[in-house]
Amino acid sequence: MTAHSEFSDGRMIFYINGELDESNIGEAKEAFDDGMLRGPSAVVLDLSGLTFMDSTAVGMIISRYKRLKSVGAKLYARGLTRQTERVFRTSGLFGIIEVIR
Amino acid sequence: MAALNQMKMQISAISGNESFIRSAAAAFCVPLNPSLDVINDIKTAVSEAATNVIIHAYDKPGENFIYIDAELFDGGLSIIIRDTGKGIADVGLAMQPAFTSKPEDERSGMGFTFMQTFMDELEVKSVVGEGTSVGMKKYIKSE
Repeated sequence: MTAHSEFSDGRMIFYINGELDESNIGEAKEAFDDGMLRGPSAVVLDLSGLTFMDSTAVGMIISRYKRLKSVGAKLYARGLTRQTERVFRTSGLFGIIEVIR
Repeated sequence: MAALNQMKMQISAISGNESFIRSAAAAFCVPLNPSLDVINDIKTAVSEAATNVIIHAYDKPGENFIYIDAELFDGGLSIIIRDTGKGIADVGLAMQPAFTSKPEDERSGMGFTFMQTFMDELEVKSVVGEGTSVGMKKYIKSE
């Protein structure tokens, strides 16, 4: 799993590649939280290279969604694959994250 | 129903083994020619069960194991993921959506909900001080 962020127009694009589970969620959180220090106005999760996620990732996303919401920043996602789309649907993440192209 | 194949695995309950375990479960099902969606469902549910053992069952995960018994039958997979750890006092409570015994760790508490959604059958048995067993079944139609 690799995770890194890029910035454009005040938005953070957060790329996660590989498989995300309990064993590597710490690295992903660290990379995300480092990016958050720059105070993005919005965050886009680019999951086009993410082949697997489980509920561990859902926990990470929900907690960061709450933090973003508290500062008025929106959270988006793009590039969902079949498996991650199913996880988003089952967990209710589609109710709080807007999917964009 | 006669088993087409059977597998027993004992593997350290350490963080990092989730990936191997879910890949093993998926590979075990290949003879039934499952769809990609079915493979993903099994991998996700098995990942949840393995993760539960790794983060909850033991105070010393490195010295303990996850035990997996799987059976492939004509029509699906039956898999039991067991541990000999601390056990769950109230299984009903543990299985409630969003319940987690570790809220400080930013956990979603959705592990059992995912297992229930992605598999066709789920049975959780536990004895405090002895361990927990999570049995799941997925019906598989050949693609």
